[in-house]
Amino acid sequence: MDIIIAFIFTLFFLGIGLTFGKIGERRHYQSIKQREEQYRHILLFSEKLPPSTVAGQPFYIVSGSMVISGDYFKQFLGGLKMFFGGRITSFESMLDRGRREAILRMKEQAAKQGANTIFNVQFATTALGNSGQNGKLTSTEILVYGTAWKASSF
Amino acid sequence: MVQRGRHLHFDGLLNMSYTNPQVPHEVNVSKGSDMLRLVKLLAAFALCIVLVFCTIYFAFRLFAQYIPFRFELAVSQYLTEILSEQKRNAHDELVQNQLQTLAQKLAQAMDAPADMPIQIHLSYETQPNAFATLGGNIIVTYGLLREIHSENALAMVLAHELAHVKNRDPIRSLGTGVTFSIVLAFVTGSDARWIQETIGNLTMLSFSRYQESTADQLAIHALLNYYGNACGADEFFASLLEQYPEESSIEFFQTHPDTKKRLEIIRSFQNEANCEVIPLSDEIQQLQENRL
Repeated sequence: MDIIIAFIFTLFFLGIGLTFGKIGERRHYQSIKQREEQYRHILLFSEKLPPSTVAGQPFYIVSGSMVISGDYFKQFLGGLKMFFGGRITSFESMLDRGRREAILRMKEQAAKQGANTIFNVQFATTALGNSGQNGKLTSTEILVYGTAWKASSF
Repeated sequence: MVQRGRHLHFDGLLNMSYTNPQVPHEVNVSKGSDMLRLVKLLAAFALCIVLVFCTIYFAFRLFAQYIPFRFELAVSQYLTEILSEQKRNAHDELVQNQLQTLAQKLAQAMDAPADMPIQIHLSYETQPNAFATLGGNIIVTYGLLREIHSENALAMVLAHELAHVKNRDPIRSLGTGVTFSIVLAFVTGSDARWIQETIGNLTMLSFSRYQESTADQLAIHALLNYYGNACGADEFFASLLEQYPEESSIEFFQTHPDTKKRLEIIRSFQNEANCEVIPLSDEIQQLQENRL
């Protein structure tokens, strides 16, 4: 009996996770695409040093961070996939959204300063929650940072 | 140019104008339905579980007979204690001892190993029933003693249960139950308490038809060894069949299927012209009268 109840609850949570996860993801992607278009003029470089043309101009450290978590469905699917190994596809879209959102937040910050280039862009990722204990990824912080410049021309 | 060292060394390249093209970001996300992936994974997972279960199940059935009996005794120690604790009056104690003596003689006639102690327990249940469980414990109910009218019939029932013990049927069934619990615990993620509870509930074990018919044959051979004939072997089954034609109403039939067929097989061994059965002991007869 306990097993049947647990089974029904699992199905219920899976349904909730799937429904709301999908709706949330679709909305998030819409927002991401719209804002990516909005901040397209800000250029990102992974190069450590800025070109000499920006010498003497003000620069700012900018960062964007996003903490993202998978829904019940994603985690269930991910947990199941960990048994067999391979690509955990359900986490891919989650992390993709996290990275792009973090970049957008950084760009927003740079735009406020009037900057149009960000150099030395780097990512840092940290798993939050009890990810080490039961092997389940609960949530991830994605931090992106760089140095923003206001370059009049390249 | 003074600060050149701190700046990008390929300044020249950057002199061209940069634009940010629209890049397809979706390369990081796999296409396809997650739901379909879940269904596939679950199916694969279920298949794995079934395979694991089958492997353990058949391995246990195959190798149960090689498990030393002392392991079975160790596992069933708790069970034996509970069964032995039941309070009985002096007369019942006497009857139980008589059953014990008869069972031991039958065990000898059956060539049961010496390190396989048999313990008979009288149960106050009124339903006619007898069953063998772990650790050589055999439970006989009052209901059964009331139904039989000869020592031979009693011996047949005892020998049948002894045969189960000798064939290691209880531990085989334990294997099934425990395997099921382990797999279930694995799937539901619950702890090992499950398994202990399962062992605790194992006074009633079910055996397969094959195990039952093997036990019947072994029991008849033991009777032939002990009495020189198979007289009265069919008595208990016949009287049960007569009294309870609706087979499903009695537990004994549910755990021991196909009574009619078994009766035929048992009777095929009884080819004596005039069967003489040994009457029941006075104590058992007295018990029958008291309980009527």
